[in-house]
Amino acid sequence: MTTTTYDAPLPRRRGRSLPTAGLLQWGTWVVVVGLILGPFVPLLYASIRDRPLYEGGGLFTLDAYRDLFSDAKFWRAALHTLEYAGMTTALSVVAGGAVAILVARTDLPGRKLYGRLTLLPLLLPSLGIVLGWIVVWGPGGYLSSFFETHLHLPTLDVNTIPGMSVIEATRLLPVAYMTCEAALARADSSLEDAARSAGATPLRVLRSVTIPMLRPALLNSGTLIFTLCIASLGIPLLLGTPRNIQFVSTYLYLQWTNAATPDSPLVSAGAMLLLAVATLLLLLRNRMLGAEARYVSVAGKAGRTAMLRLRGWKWPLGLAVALYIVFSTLVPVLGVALMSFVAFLTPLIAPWHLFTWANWDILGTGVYLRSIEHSALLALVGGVVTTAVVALATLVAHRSKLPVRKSLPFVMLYPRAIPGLIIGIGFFWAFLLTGGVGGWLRGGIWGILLAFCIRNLPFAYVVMYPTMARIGEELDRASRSVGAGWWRTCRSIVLPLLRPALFASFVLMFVEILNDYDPALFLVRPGTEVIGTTMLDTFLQGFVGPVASLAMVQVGVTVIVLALGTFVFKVRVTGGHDA
Amino acid sequence: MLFKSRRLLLPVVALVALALVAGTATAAQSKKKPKNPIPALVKQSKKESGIVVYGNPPSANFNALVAAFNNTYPWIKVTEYDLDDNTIFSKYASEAAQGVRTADMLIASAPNLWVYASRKGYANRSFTPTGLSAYPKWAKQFKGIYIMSPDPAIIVYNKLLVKNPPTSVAQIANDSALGSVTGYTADNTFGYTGLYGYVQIAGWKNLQAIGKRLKPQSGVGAQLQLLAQGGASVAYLTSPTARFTISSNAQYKQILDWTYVKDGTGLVPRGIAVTAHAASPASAKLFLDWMYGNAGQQAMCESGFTAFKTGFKPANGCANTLADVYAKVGAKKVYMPGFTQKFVNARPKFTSQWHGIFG
Repeated sequence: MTTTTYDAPLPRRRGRSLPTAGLLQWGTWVVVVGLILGPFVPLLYASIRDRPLYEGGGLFTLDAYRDLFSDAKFWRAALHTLEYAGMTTALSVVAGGAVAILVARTDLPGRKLYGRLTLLPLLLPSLGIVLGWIVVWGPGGYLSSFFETHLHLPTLDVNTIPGMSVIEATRLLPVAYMTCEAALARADSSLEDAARSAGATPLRVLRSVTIPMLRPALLNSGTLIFTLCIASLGIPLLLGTPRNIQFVSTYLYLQWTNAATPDSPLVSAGAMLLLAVATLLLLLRNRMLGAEARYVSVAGKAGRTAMLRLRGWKWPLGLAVALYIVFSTLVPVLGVALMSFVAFLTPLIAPWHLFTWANWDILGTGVYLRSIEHSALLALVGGVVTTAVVALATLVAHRSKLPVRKSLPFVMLYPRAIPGLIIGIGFFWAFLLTGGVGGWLRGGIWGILLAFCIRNLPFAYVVMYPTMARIGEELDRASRSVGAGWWRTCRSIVLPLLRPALFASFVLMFVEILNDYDPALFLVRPGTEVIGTTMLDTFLQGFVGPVASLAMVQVGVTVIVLALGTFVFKVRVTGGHDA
Repeated sequence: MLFKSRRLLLPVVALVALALVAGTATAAQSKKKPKNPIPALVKQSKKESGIVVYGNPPSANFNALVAAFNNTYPWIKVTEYDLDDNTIFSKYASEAAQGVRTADMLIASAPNLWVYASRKGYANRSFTPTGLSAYPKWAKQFKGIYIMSPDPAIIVYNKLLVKNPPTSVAQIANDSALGSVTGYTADNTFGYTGLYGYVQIAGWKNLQAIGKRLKPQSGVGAQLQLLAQGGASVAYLTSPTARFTISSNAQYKQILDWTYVKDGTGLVPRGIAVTAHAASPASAKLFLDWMYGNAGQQAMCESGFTAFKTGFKPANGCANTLADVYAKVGAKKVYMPGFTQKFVNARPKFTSQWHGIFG
């Protein structure tokens, strides 16, 4: 038997395809890094000037950073952010890991259904769900007033840091669940079997084998969730600001809306700071994880998972997961659904006295119809394009020898490191400064599409990377050894194996773009509205009904797309796709 | 001797002469002024491409206003971008600097940003609406920057929860049976202006008495929602666009109502300006001119803004006028801050005082 190494000279074909491969790799790198860093460049420039970047004159200065660091309010906000992000991360990682273990490693009744339902909070429209939370659990909400007046039980105050953490944690729990479930699905359960046969109790196995095995997944998802929390604006703005609980994101937002002059450099400086924090977090994670390869598990042992018997704990634990799903997802969604059929939702009047079709009728008219059409189009195009580009970028990052490839995993998480609104400002400036093409992008829905795609691209990467890591590199080497070039190998071997992840990424991108709004707030014009911006606008005017019916449209389309993906294309939006 | 030397005398004479000439020139100009500028603007507006507005009025209110404007000027298409105050100026300034198509007209409430806009020359200073003399002096804030609507902060309450509707903040403060109160925080520009006006007249006492009963919300939309839910029974010093929201929504009408604030009404001035880089300046000037005429004032009243032409009585019983505020509250209890640096500078201290009370 002869062994052919990957670097062995297998002339001709390779010689011909290498320049093309190099070009493709460099091209992908330049496009991805350029598009992601594009909106950050004007922000960085603005942060070291003494006046808005569109004004003539001016000097380079670090005053904005100095002002930021010397503001006591900023430090208070930073402390709140730390508390909020820490609490949310702990809650969602612990609960997400627990649900993943229950679903993947135990005989929990209904675990397959739970596995699917647990993902819903991440996929449902955040604006609509927050509204649902407020309607149901907020002050004077349906359930909170019921609990208080009838059961005399206090409910969690949603306007406090723990309250907001719980809401954010239920939304982000699926991130931890996805990562842990993927790790468990690809990890060989023979280690657990060995421990059991050596006489360890199930709890001991859990403590000594399963959880340590999950450590990289917990660390990975924890870093991502922490970063997402720091940049989160929606929940802190709607629930925290009224009680003067400021986070770094809302501090920057209020600085931007209330500053004595427009476009204070301080906001740009704050954005750069958040970016630096995200970079540090990622570096820290990499250090803690050690060499990436250490955790790439052996492929091809799927299906050999022995189930841990829960015995007496079976039903209580099943009930706990069911309650989580009911209260975190079902109840807010039902709240929003109910709200869409009434003029307004109040515990003071029975809903049937307030029944109306008006909120649904209005969706067929003017700006509402236009928003739905735009969002559907953008979600479809954006889903396809982002998936294609991120697939290429992931290949370059993890399957090429491009000298700068290691920068991609970092850069691909940047768009989620600062609040969407600020990245929207960055895009607006970038479009304005690039003239012709920028002007065209700024004027239509395609600029909004670009912003949405870039903003949500980290999720596509997060879905694709675990599957890519599962595909053993020996397959690449085999392909290369028979003379296939890099691109040929990717096209014929890696991408087909990656297909489930590609579908999953498309579904996730479709849903995220459909439901996104904050990067578009600065870019939207009359005639280019999308569902999210119209919802926010309608909400701010005091009309809640159409917001609820739009949210239900998002929920409906999301559920249909997910169902299609699951049953027609056999896609799972978790990382544990069968390759 | 008045002038120490002849050398100094000559320039002084020259200056005096120059001033005299300039004086006659302005006199000549003001004599010319009665010549109606409108026909020329109408002619030019037909060559322009419609008005782009960056503004903070809710689009429902503004569209009603535009519909009335189009009865007079059907060929001028008005497109409003409903934006936050800061975005209005930021977007205009960035686009104007790059020389691309931008807003012809800005409408915003933030006094700080208008002070800045005036300093930076964002407004077209060449036009004064023909009917402006029939308005209070403060209708003109800076050259080219006018008050579109002095919006009074109002009280909104839940009819099902409140038996005796409060007509003053004092009543809200002293009647603890009213339960939770909602409204703006001082961090919000509208909230700051309304609260500042109130405090100038009635002081902090009543606000202190409300104290922890306040559950503030960041926007009028969220406040109305909270009121309808019953999470609060009354909103203090909130935005009068709620008047239009309530009257145009049959179900809100069943449950919500509003009153003026009798112990101190802060007016929140909404400013308007034709921009220096307008692509359709004539059309925008026509809009401004129309708005300050009788037809415009009637439309302002009906679309939920505040008509404030002196002596103007709207038809159809519309009551959204400044005269109505004065009649119900009394002129002494109404405070108009204006776009001044003093008002802008007072904000940090005021806001921290507010947070000292409400947390």
